[in-house]
Amino acid sequence: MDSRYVPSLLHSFTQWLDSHAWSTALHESLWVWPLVESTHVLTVSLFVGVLVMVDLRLLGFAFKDTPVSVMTARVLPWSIGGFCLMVVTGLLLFYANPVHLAHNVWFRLKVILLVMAAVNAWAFHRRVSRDRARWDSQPRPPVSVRLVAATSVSVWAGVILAGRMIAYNWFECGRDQSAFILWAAGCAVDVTS
Amino acid sequence: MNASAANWPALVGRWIVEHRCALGSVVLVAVLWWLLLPWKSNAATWCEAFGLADFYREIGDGGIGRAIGESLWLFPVIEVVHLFGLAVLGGSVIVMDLRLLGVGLKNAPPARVLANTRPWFFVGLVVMIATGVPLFLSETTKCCFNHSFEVKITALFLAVPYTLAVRNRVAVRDGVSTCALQGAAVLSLGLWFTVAAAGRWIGFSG
Repeated sequence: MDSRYVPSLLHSFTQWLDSHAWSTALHESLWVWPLVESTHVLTVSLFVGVLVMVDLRLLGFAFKDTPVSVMTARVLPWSIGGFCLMVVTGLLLFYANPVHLAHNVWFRLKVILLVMAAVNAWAFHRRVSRDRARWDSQPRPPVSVRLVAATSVSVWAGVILAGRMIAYNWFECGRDQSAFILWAAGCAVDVTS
Repeated sequence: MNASAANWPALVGRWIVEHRCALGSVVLVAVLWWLLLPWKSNAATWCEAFGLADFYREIGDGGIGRAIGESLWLFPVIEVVHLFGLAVLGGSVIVMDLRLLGVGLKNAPPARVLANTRPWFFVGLVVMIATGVPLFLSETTKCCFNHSFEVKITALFLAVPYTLAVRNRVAVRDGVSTCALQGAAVLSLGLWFTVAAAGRWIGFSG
């Protein structure tokens, strides 16, 4: 047990993942890890980029002459395809370094933002879109629609920010950290010193 | 078994014939990659070959490059904004090229899709350049000897004029064959993919 981390179910699980030979092999791979990571980064343009185009339509900034239903039927599936690639490459990257990532504050922030993005997407498709027929062809949809789109853009921007910052070790357990970071990252506190 | 399922070799054949120009362009881009990348990774970079290392070091010694190099936060923050630019630029390029390939917004005229994506292409490009130049200034010496950087910049200097002068013109012209539209789209996707992929690889190579 690495004493830098608070023991927990999550910690036991990630330690078990970390014990896999394939996890180590992927983490230390000269070519596979960089290729998976690059795919994860480049897919930002397919997933977030195409999603932003749909969100810009919902905000009334682009494709004002195209009904929202056409954007969600013909453009959004490409973004969802990109999202699937993101999930596959993202899970592989987590599998390569699970204990470290589970105790990385940026990774934890990213997971929270992903949950927020999921709730927002659910709100758009299951709630806000109920009366879509009314505003489908409006160049500038109602404020509820624009709010969801603005939230989508902001939260995914936050996901990109948090995701990129995972690479930096400023808030790593084992370095001199504030009480808040020790708590947020689930670091063990040395009570003997 | 229904008729269309039994007929699948003919359907696949027809799909290949219909997309011969897109497929041909994919092969062309793949062959260019296969030929150029190993050659580039063995030869000296242009910066090296033309003795520009001192010049690169000097421009990196300016205020911007030093400020980013000395700061803990500046490089990552600029890089994140660079990624925001990647999303906007990439999204606008992909939506337009999908239309040219006959998918995505296939029922809208290409000129209308272009009119809607072009402003965001420029937004993305401006963000990319405004953040990319400072990132370069913070590590000019690394970039001088970095093959990925050279591939990226070469592809970028091809991709921008190609997109503006060729693809966008082909997209709005009347009577352009489906074949030419598909080829133009694949070349665009191939060039921009090279810019992005080689850009990411700068960080992995030296």
